[in-house]
Amino acid sequence: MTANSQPELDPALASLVSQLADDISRRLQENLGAAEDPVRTAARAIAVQIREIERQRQEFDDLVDQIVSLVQEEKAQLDAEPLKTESVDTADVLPADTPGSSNSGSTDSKSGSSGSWSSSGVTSSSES
Amino acid sequence: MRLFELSRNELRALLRARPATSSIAPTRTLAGWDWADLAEDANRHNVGVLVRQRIADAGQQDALPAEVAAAWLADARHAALQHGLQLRDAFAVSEELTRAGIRHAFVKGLAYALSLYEPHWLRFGGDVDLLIDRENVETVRQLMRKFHFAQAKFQEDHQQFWPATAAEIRAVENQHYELAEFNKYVELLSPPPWLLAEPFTPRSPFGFGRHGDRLMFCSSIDAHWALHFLFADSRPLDEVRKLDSGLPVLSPEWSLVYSVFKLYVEVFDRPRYGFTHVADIVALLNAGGIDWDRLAQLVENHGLQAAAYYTLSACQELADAPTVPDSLIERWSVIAAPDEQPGKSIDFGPFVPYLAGSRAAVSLGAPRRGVARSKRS
Repeated sequence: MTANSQPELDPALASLVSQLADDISRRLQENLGAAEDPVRTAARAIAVQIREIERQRQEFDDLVDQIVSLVQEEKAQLDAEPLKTESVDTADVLPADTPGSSNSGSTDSKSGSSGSWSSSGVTSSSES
Repeated sequence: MRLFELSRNELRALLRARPATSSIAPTRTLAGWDWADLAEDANRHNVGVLVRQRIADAGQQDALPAEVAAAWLADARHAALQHGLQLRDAFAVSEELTRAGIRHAFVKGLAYALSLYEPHWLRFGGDVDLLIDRENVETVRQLMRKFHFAQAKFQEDHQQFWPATAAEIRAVENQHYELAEFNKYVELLSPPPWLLAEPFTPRSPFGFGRHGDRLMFCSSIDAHWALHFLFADSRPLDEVRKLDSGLPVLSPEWSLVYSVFKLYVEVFDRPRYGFTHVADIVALLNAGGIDWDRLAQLVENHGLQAAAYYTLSACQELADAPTVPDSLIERWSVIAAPDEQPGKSIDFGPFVPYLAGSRAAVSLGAPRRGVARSKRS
């Protein structure tokens, strides 16, 4: 028996316990005159709760399995680099006016400014 | 400090799609601004690269703290390379579609980058949006495979992609007006030393990453069969024009009505996001050439009067000059009775909340003066 497992009840003893439970229940019902045995009622309610907990645990396990599966699938796709690839020489596509390129003109140099900053922004001379 | 707290003129200067052509003497220094916060806010709106460029244009980049300047320079270089890579794929796909007789147009990011922004890469995005006719959906799906594109799913930060299953593709296409996104990895050879080097931070909408010791870019194309379900019965491809580069884009009117819709409706529930659409709308207004009668028709046919009123009256205050006809602003400012356009008109009220994170008056940048003539206010 492991630390987490439940001790098994001897079948004969289990049968005896069951009979005793029925007997106690019957006597209680007779003595109390109750329409419903309160012990059985409580036991049924607990059983319903246990079944609900078990159902939710199963749902949770299924969800974990799905997440693990999705993560594994995504990882496999990442590792596979599946999209097709082509190559380009950047010099063939880089615009001539890219800042810092040899033909970038003067827009990044002070001497090349075509306007000045003011409280009213860079404005045209015709603007008030 | 956040973008919406800047003055109108400051916003106008920082968000302009093209450089200013003249100047006045500087009277206010940028050095005292809370640049760490402002840069974070601008990056969230994906206008950090644009703001940085306009500061550089004005010769004021020294006003930026060293960390912000270095991070924005790294972002700008990656934005330029991303634009170049996306443009390469856009040309290839467009040529193939044209050869197959399939009409199409590029919309939003790449279309605006090429037609409105200088340099073009200032308006970069995570993907390229392509509009096709619904009847060509399956043909386009097949053609995309020629260019190594596969329909893929991806992480939220767009750093990892996997081929989507048939069920996943079906799920996306049943819920959206586009095909499940097409993606492919592009290995970057002869990389410049700054590629994926600090202080650059890989993040959406950048598509750069590493696979082992290889530097990669994930190229993405979104093929839409409608701009949105709202426009499912419309035919914007009837009004396509070609850019000098040969790429087809939507008419200015369709572009404007779509950006108005995007700014007002689609991201209404995404606080602190949307200045990239503001910059687009201001750029469209500044570019001119808008047929206002046609625009009014599109706005009113799709029940977008409130969207047009709120967005255009605010955005034109950041434009070089007010260009929206007063008569249209006046007309769209009237809140229609529910029985006048049953089930059609879209009116969620002022659009500023998702820009600023709180409900506020409909005006961008102080001083506020935009709603004086509004019947809605």
